[in-house]
Amino acid sequence: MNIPLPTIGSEFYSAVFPILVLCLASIISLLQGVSKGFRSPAALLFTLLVGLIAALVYQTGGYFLGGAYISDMLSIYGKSLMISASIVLVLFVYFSTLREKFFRGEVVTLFLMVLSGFLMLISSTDLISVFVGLELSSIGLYSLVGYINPNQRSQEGALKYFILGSISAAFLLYGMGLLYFTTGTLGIDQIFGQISQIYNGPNWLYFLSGLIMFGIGLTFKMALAPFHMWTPDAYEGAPTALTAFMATAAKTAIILLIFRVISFTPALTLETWQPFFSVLAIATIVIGNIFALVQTSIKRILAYSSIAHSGYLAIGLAAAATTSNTAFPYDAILFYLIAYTIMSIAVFGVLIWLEEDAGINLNLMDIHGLAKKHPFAALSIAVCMLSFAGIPPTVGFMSKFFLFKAALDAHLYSLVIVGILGSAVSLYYYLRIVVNMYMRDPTGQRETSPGGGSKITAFVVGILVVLIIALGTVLPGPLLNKMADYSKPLMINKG
Amino acid sequence: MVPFNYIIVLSAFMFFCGVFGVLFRRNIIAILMSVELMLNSVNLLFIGASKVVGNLDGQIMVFFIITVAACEAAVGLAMVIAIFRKFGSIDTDKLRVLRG
Amino acid sequence: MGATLLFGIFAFLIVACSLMVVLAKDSVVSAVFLVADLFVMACIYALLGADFVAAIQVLVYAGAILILFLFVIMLLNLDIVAARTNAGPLEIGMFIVVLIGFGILVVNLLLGERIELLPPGDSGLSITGKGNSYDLGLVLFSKYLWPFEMASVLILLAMVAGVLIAKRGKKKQP
Repeated sequence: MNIPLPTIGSEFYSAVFPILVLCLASIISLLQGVSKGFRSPAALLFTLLVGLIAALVYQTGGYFLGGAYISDMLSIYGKSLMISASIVLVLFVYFSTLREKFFRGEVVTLFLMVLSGFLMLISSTDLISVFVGLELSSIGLYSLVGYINPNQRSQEGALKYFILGSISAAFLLYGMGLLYFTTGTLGIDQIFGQISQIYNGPNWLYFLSGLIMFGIGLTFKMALAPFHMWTPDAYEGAPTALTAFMATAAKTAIILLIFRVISFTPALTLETWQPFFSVLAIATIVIGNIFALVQTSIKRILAYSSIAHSGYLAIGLAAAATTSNTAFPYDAILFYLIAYTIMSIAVFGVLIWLEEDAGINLNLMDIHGLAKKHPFAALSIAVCMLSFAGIPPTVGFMSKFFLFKAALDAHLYSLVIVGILGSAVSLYYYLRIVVNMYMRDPTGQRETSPGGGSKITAFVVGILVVLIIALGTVLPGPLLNKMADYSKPLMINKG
Repeated sequence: MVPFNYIIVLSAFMFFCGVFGVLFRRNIIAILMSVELMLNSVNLLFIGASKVVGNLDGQIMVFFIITVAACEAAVGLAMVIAIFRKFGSIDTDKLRVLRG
Repeated sequence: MGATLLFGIFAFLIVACSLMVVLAKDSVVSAVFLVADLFVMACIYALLGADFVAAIQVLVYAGAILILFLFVIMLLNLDIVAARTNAGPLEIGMFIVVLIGFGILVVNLLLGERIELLPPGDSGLSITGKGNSYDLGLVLFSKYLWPFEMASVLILLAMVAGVLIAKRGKKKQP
């Protein structure tokens, strides 16, 4: 019996072009780091931007290697979102005090490889590719979190992230083992397509436990309760730009992976996912919002808020796991991811701008009276906080509105109630930040006061803030319709 | 040969030992070794499953698991060295790493 | 019959070694028992027909990764840390959940139906007749070529990360 060797033609190369160019850029920056003439941050920035932009603009579609690599609209969406976020964040870092520490050969190499790992993750339908992509991105992130700017907090956060991440990888793998044993294959489409047959067979309990362990591994990566423990320490210890990257790109990649898993489940058995996501959503929204109430460090508040937003996304996932025929839940989640990325990058951008003189880890005391000294920064933060809380006329409100509407269409009334209550509770800690900025006098606890970053960062944050308002008022409709293009690949099993 | 049930139980026992080691040991290197134990239990599961299913995919997965375990061990041990250099101890109670 | 007896011996050895890995106070003792564990596992793999994987396990896992562990343990010259800790309710809760899962599996072993392994020489497991390494190579380089290539990126990432993390910083100015 002969196994046909795969044809690696030019279509394959153009389909994997983004990942190839990112890996090429990472090797080039590694060589630059040890060369004499090309070590400067400017040169590394050049390589980084060329690589990212080249990866962004060119890709073709198709299925390759028997499904191990898929390049369809969904992966193009994820790729565009993650690479755009990375370009903005890299520019933020370049114009901040972190420039010397980040633009070293090794760090840029690691960053590009992490990004290529995420791209690989969202383009795979094979459990082995999923695992390699996941570990590629995770191992890179463990080291980047702690060691771009090593200090006690970041090293401890990185170690905690590493240990919990390895445990979750082991759970994920054990689940994959059980799924492989019960279905006989490692392809996601075949595994989840066989759910109904296995349900009536003798191996159902093994399959279910495999599914649960696989789910445990994934909920860890997405920072859903009760496996969110790594998030506050890792987010607080990491450099702010990397925190933004983790909060946006990592979540996007895992959600798209879950999309692929859900989409291959035949329509009749799709509702088995609902209780799983519903319970996770409720637990996450409750825990994320309650713990955020008592934090004083701004980055920790944002970390818990990020956990709560994972919970809202889980409501969307529960809504997507229905037997009805529409793509609306998928569109709503894709819209929410874009909105969340814009909000997060804006608010973390302001934090990077503020941290210029004052050092790292601002807490609430530090931003007293910010409105008097830096009115523009305070306004940006205020808009972002309103958007996170879901108050009109921001895009945060529209994204939550679409999400809750999708949940209502799926008759998930209790989830919507929990979501609205959670948003109401979150209003307290978001508004507390706004109040501290506008209505308190500066305490002057630090020797130098926050603020004073580069104008380019300020300019980009300004654009993002305008986008937040614009997408919340005049543009949500067209953007939502555009999302329908991107969710087409997910509709193969519905209807 | 034995039925696959015995292999599942054996692999689960190793996994269970690994979880115990991760939760209850204070030495970071011991925690890393427990994670290696967990990954090995998955290897056993995949090889046995490969023999049940009649496929070679399980054995290929074991290759990749060994590779990833090597990378994680390298990075984890590098972190241990860095932390030891900075703090002088790898007792997690002193570092308060896994609390809260 | 002989295979079953061998499997029984190996299983007993694995149980003993795994327990010693997590219960030993000294990390060197743990590491040595882990090496023994891996070696016995390689024997089981060979028994299950995956002889090439068994060889790779001994060469890579026991022969490189655990040597790395032992180097680091020796390098740091550690004091013996106590084996138990003040475990919070979260850890005990997780432990009980895993314990229940394990109990269910044991019950299934004793009472449930048997899942039989395929006999040796099965056509799915030996595609050509030329041995485990040949067949694995055939599958690895055709069906799983893409993750294989990205695994090389993963290894490079681990190397660069290891250097980044553990490199000594510049000496402070006097």
